[in-house]
Amino acid sequence: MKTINVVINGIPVQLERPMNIVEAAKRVGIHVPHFCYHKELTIYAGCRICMVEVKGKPRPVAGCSTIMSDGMEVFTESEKVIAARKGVLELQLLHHPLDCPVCDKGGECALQDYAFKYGAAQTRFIENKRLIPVNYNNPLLERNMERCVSCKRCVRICAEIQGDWVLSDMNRGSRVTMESFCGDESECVHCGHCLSNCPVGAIQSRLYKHVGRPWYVDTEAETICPYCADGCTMTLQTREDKVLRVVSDETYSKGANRGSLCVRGRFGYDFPNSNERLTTPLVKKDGYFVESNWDEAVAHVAKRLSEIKSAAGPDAIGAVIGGRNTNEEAYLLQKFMRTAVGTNNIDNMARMGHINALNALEAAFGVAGSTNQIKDIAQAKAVLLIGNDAATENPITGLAIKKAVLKGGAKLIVADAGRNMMTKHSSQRLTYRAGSEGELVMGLINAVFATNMHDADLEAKNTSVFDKVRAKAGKYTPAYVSEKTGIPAEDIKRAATVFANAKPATIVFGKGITATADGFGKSLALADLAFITGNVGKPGGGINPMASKAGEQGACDVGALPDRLPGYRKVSSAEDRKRLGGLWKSELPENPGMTVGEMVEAAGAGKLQAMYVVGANLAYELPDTKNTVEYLKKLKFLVVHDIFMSETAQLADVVFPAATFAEKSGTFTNSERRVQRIAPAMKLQGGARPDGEIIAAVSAKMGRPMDWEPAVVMEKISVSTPIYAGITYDTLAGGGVQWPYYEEMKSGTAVLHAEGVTGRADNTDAGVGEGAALAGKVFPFVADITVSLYHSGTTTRRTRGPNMVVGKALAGMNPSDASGLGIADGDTVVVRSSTGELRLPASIDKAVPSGVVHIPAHFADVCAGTITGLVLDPAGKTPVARYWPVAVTKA
Amino acid sequence: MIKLSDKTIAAIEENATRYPDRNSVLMFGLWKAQEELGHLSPEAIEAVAEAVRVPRAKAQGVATYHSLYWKKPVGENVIMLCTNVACTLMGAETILEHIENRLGIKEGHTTPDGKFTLQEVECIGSCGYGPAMVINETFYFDLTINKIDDILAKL
Repeated sequence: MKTINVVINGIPVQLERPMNIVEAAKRVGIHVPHFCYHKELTIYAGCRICMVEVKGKPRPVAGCSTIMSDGMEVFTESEKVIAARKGVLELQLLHHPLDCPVCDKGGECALQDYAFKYGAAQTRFIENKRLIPVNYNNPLLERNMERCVSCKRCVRICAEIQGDWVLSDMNRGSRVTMESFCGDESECVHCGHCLSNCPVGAIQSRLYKHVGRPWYVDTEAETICPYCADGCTMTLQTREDKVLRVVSDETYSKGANRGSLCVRGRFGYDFPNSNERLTTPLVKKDGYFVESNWDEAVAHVAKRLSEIKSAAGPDAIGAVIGGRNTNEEAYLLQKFMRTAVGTNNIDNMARMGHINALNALEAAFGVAGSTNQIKDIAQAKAVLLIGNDAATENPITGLAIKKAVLKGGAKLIVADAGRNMMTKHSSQRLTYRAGSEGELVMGLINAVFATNMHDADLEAKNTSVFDKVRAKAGKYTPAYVSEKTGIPAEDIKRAATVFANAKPATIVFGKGITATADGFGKSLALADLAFITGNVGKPGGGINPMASKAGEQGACDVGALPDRLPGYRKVSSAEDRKRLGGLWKSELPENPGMTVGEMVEAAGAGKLQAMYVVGANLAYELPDTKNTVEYLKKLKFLVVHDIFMSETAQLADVVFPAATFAEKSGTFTNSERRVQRIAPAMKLQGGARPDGEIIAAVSAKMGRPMDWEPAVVMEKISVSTPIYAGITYDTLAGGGVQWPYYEEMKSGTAVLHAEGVTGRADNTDAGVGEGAALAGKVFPFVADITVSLYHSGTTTRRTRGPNMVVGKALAGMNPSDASGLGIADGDTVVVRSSTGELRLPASIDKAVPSGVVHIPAHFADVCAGTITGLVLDPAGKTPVARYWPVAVTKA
Repeated sequence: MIKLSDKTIAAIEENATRYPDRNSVLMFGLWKAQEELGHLSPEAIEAVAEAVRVPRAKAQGVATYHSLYWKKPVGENVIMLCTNVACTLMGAETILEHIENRLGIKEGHTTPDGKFTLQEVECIGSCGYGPAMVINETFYFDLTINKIDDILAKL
């Protein structure tokens, strides 16, 4: 394409593609004032403040809607322009209240800045100010429409990026207000896009109301959201070591999320400030916790672990790291267990599901990670979203899928056994019977082959793999699958046709697949589906497994697994043990260790005597709460690191107060293999210390000193973990890196297997099992135990924002099921299973399929583990607890 | 929740075939619903949004933008009198006062018997023939007080 030569304020500019005047001016550091323009939104050209002068044109033109052409000469601050701009400001200020002293936007307000710059405070009009009451319809926001400049950015971002279209501009002219339908905000998901995009103070956070000013912030840190595994870049602002608020990237360019956040990230920020934080090490004496000090507590832990190790052997000790710990901490813990303790009994909470996806992708393609990147999904022409509610579990991935649908016209197939909030964007919804996920995927593969829609060229090169997959899928005819899943055969064929004919097409899946029986085989079947349709190795194609928590992928990557060393090297490989043992100057144990579920069972059987739990709330997160607690109590010694007195910490012999993500450095690896740095925004609270420092202290006391400073640990990881080779804190500056990193290209890998798949030789025969019906006569319902958009466990229970929207657990039920049982909205129901019962209010929700009860997994008083049992899947040893048969009655 | 009649739904569907984008039917749908229901209550707007398959907030935004969509119940005859510059110069204010006195209501209101609603409107494109007004779908111009009395008496 020919370059375009233009001149802006006398500065020559070369543009490699056509763009508007505002963007072109940005190239040479010139800011053209604007309210309504936003680079990610459609052009509205309604605010008229971006008027600029173009040589040869009689009138000023709007800088946002005028595309630069060759030879154009523009003046953004000429006399004529300034006069026009003053005129617009004068009209804006006609109605805008002069309440800057009490407006939270003061100091970062576009209108204030422009009025300050151009000085249009005097008006020639005599007109009354608009009087519009402040709108409190939204639990997290207040809308002050007197301050609105009618730029409609909130309306457009809600519709175009968030895809929810909750707001609209009601009425017109000077009476226009940005409102939801009759003030009903029930469709709002509280992402705060409107808040972050309001150029003035018309939309404000109720959490941040009169909390601070931009110049009040003393520390600002660009960091990564600690909640889900989308790994969003955000900025924490603090003052005097308290988090003030979270702000998102205004340039809409950084990280995986590119400026977007969801309610958890944007409003769930105040748990580090909580006065429930643990502040000092606690040691249990005679059944009561006694405050201790670091030296004493560390020495006590080292002594007890050493005693148990010499009395019962190293394999009597196990360790688990939670989903919110950094890569460095997971690395230190596994190294501590393998060297200082001498066992492979180390696991992380990706065992709750994600590990099945990683094992399957490794078996299929040779790399244990998502094949593509999140933003790529927007390029897909078809998306199969299965067993994952991207709108609530991984909202930023959800945005990429919505972008594919809204901007790219992609077809979205939503397959789920339960409620799925992405359904409204779908072109097809497949509601399968819980447990029959595998049959559905096999059915899709069968249908693809049956109509020859598979990639024939690829088949020619991979005949044996294709033959194997074809044979495996042979029995899953549409009729058979229809009987098993409850989906009409025609729908299965239609979905297969849509998916196979779209190029590229991608798959997004999560715990609805991985945390069920045969999660490994089902994940593998999805990998096969991506492969036979020729989507692997293509931007916008591939297969994207969704981890639940920020640290899950990374903990697996760096070897916090009982059968894998850092970089997924097998414990059983003598060569890898030798290589690592050389680096760590230690002989590494050769027997694979226990997974978290096995550890708890072994604790119950008395075989495991001590556990070291870092940031995992086992007594809450694992299924079968009653037995889990019972078993953990049988341990001779339990050490827990946590930020709060969690259910597990209460059972511990020693509790160490840990630092939150806001107080420490480190890295998280998100679902798309992107390693990203977190940075401290405040000093350590109370007596808390980073988990890595605590682990290193215990290790040193046991005779194996370790460096714990995160930057140093990452250098060690890059040596010991082949997939992290070349990754240091320097290479991670500026948005992180998707492993593997290539030094010569100074870049990570956005799309794996672009050169073709190499790992298929290791193909496995794992099947998808028999999706036996879960619901029966005694327990006619299936509980769909899953996350809510507003919560994620111990942390969000201590945040104000999410609790202002959803403060208690509700059992979501289909209207027909509820009326059949005489249950009305808000009635207390008893959800009973073979292991226990829960009592909670019902929420009548037509998005919940009939026969399913939607149970949120993270409220203190309603613990979902009460109604599940500990059943470990044979392949991945993952607890099978996503769906559980229950009976529901009115209390 | 209001259900639109099959006839209105059919009209919306028929109209939808004329445009490449279904959003384009929204204004027509609102108009048809108003014809059927008399005015556009929030429930009616919601029903149209569902029929046209657009977000309900968007439908309400469009309905509240245009003054010819009645958001409140109106009388049998809606008097829309222009009070812009040209008509006012020709005496629209006197006409308005006269109608208000005759009907015993203020602008923006409906008579207790539900027969008339009186509304001031912006320019109706008849500056050469002012004062001008529209009642229902009939246009009246060169208005005088006598002429108004004649017109209203016949309705």
